[in-house]
Amino acid sequence: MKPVPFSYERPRDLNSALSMLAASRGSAKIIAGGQSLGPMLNLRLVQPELVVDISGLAELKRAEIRGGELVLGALVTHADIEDGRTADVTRGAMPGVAANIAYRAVRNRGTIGGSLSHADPAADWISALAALGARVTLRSLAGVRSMAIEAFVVGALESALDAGEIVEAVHVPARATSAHWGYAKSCRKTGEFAHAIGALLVDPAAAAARVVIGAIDTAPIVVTDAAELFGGRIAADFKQRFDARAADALLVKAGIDDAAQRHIHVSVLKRAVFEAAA
Amino acid sequence: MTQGYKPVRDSGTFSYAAHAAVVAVDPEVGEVEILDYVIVEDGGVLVNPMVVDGQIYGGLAQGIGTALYEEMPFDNSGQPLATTLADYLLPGATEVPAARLDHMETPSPYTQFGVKGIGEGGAIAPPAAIANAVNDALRPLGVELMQSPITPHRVVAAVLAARTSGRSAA
Repeated sequence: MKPVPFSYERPRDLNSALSMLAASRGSAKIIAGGQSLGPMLNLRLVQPELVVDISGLAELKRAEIRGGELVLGALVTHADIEDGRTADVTRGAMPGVAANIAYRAVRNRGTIGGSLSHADPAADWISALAALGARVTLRSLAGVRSMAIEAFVVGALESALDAGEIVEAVHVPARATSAHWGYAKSCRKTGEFAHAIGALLVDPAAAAARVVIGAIDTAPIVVTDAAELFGGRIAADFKQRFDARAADALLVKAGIDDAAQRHIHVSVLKRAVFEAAA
Repeated sequence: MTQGYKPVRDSGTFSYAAHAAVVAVDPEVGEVEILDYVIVEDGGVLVNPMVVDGQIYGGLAQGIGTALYEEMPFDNSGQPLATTLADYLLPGATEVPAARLDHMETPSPYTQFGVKGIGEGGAIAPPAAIANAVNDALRPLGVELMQSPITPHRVVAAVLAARTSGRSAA
């Protein structure tokens, strides 16, 4: 199939882009790498009147460490992160996630801001960045606001973006030297979206853990204080203390009534726990 | 001038094949990985061995799709649920192993040069070979899968069912 006819604009600066989005009153779609929007346009799952191509906006390509955190512009590609063209404050966690997103052709074009905006439950960044405790800044003509990733992703393909608003940057806090990272996913085949994602950042020194169960039918389950998954206490023996039943209970609470599906999610999370402990 | 070819006996020729698969199955996540795959095919006299090999490899890829990926489900009102290649999974290059291939050449007594048809053989055996290998791997758990494609969900559901029935029997 082919997309419906639409107008196309490629603004030169962020303010022009924001003006176009404001004027379109919600009938516009933003395109950056086009790795999700392209197929969706062709399948006519989206039928915008206007496509605003932001790939020319230099402001959104910046990547820098600012005040101890990494600030990645929305147009930074997965391959930029995979290849280390951007700085890393996560001690390899983000490059590791980036390197396993879909396949290389997608990573060359796909952007971190696009992936977040699209909010596909099965995509990697919404889960990985929630586990890392990242925040996102959104900009419109009215100004800027900032929120945690887990607040930004509202549901399947649903984000907190208002009409006229754009993801400007992702702010990733530095990973403590005492913090362990684990990330696992299961895909039917190479390059396919995951059907289960487990991510965790465990810092026994701080007795803190963030755990994410992703690729469920809706927004990922983000547990910012995950002591309940480790028998009530985060310590160096977190691998032994991992409580599969507590994880299963979270999935039941999220409305997943299929036991096999829950078992796959818990097993993938367990893989991530083992990776973090290794 | 147009010329045709009709063999002395036109009831068809039959090639023979044996497929053997070695797989790894993760019973917790349901992933299946093909570790080794061997095909021996008897296609009679091979007129163009390169084309024969290509046909068998292609058939294997298609058969792996049947075994592990391809499915056309419908919902209760008859609506097809796999209408694009995003939903209808096909094996890609990374899902098809470098199979080992060997040939026997038993000439057909009924055809010119002793050739036999080998066009479809490659695609027919893989679902059986792979399912048998998966079932062999899961045998200690008391699991037998009888439906293709063998998806992670079907594997895990069968493993959980076996565990539950094992507990109730005990």
